Amino acid sequence: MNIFLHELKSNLKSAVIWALSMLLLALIFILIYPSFAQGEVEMKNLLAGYPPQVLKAFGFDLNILFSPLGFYSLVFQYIVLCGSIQAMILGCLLISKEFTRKTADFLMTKPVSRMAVISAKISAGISSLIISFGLVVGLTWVLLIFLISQSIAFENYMKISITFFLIEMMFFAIGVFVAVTVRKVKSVTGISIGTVVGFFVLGLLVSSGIVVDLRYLVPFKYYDYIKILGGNGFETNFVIINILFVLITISVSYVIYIKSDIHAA
Amino acid sequence: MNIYLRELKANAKGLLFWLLGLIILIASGMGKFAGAGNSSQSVNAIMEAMPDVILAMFGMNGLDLDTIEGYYGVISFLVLIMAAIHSRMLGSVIIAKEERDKTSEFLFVRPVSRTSVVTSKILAALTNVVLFNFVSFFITWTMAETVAKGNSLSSDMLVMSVGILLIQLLFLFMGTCFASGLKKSGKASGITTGAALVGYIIYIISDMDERFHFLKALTPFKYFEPRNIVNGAGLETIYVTILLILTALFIIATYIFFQKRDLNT
Repeated sequence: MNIFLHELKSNLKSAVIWALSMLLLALIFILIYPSFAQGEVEMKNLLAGYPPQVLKAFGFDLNILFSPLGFYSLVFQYIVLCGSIQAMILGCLLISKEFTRKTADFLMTKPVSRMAVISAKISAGISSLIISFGLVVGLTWVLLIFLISQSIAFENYMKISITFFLIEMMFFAIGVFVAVTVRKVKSVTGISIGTVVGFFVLGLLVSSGIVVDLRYLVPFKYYDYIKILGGNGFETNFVIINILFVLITISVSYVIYIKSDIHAA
Repeated sequence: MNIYLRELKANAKGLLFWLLGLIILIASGMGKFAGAGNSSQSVNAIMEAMPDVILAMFGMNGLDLDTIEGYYGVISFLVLIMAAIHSRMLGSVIIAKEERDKTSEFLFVRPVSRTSVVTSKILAALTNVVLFNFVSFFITWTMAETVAKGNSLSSDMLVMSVGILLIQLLFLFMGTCFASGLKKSGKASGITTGAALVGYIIYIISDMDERFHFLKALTPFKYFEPRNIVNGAGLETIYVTILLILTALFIIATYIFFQKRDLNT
């Protein structure tokens, strides 16, 4: 419990700062919405002349796309990008800082099992993620309600938002895994931003149609928001992959952490 | 000279992987054009009616995807992002790695001045960056020749290469500057990536809505845009000047900071 509280305390400030920067981003995007919505009429007029098959090929429903949540789901990816970086930095830092700051021997000589140490650290990490997730999702909802004078379905909003947490957890798990294998991670921010941005660029390639088959490799592409808003729900296989990935990666990290030799500083 | 050669060798493998990724990106992107090129008028008409927000997210604003020029513009933007990531990593790591690998004592007891060490390192990094630039030019040119014979791209490509080189130099020296100036040089990589990421998000936002156009002076990605070059506008003198001045400042700062640096050993 001490370790949990200690970790939570040392991460709280950065969790709040991350949440505030993501909120700022959300605010800017919400301010853009009105000018985005103006394009609806023009687009509909233009598309009225085309057969339904053509529209289907594009894979979206204009009514959904131009709705506040449709727009939000488009720009949401940049918020998810930031959140993923936060999550990976957090996962990586929690474990590796004991090695880089040479406090591992101090920690390991305390009468707590390694199992308890890593569990406390991981649950503190997840708690900080939940705190900033809650702040972002909660306050963005308030912004949406105040700034956009249309009714927005809370249920759909939550469906989109929950994917944020699922994707964050994947990068958190990757961060933990990197930290237990590499241990003395030289630049936590560098490796985290690098990895997440790498996946993001891969995602850009997937969505611009250059490499379509790689969708399974890119967490950012697991959830098709327009389909979710259209009432088609989540794609089950991607949800399963997501959750399994997190569970397996974390379990493997546990095993590695418990078995690894820890060198004194 | 020894240091220069040593650095070239140390970076050769990394460069090779970057070039491989670059070749795959360009080849598959351009190959896609060969398959989809001149597909249908309707696709293009729909693209034109798309709201700026969506086009901005794919970097497709103001580009005609029915033509090889438009395709080239989209791919160039991805190449630009890759080039920026590559050069800023190179710049920060080439300086920071001596302290990271604890080889700085070894290096700085040699009878070479700090200035000549930095110069050799910078020259080695420049060689890498120029090679990256040249290969991307060459591959794109060959691909464009194969998929669309008799196109008018060659001169655009030269301008584009110059533009990409300017961005590469900016990020390269931003990296060396931070790595020399920061107390913990390992943080340079994270900070410059963060800067590039913020630049990218500002780029997207300023493209999405006219009210946010004023932000564009804040992001180097806006200084020279693939779409302007493809559409024949070329490089804007004022932005080229800003880029050159910034780069020069970073170079000077690198030398000053490095001269005064307290080496952590």
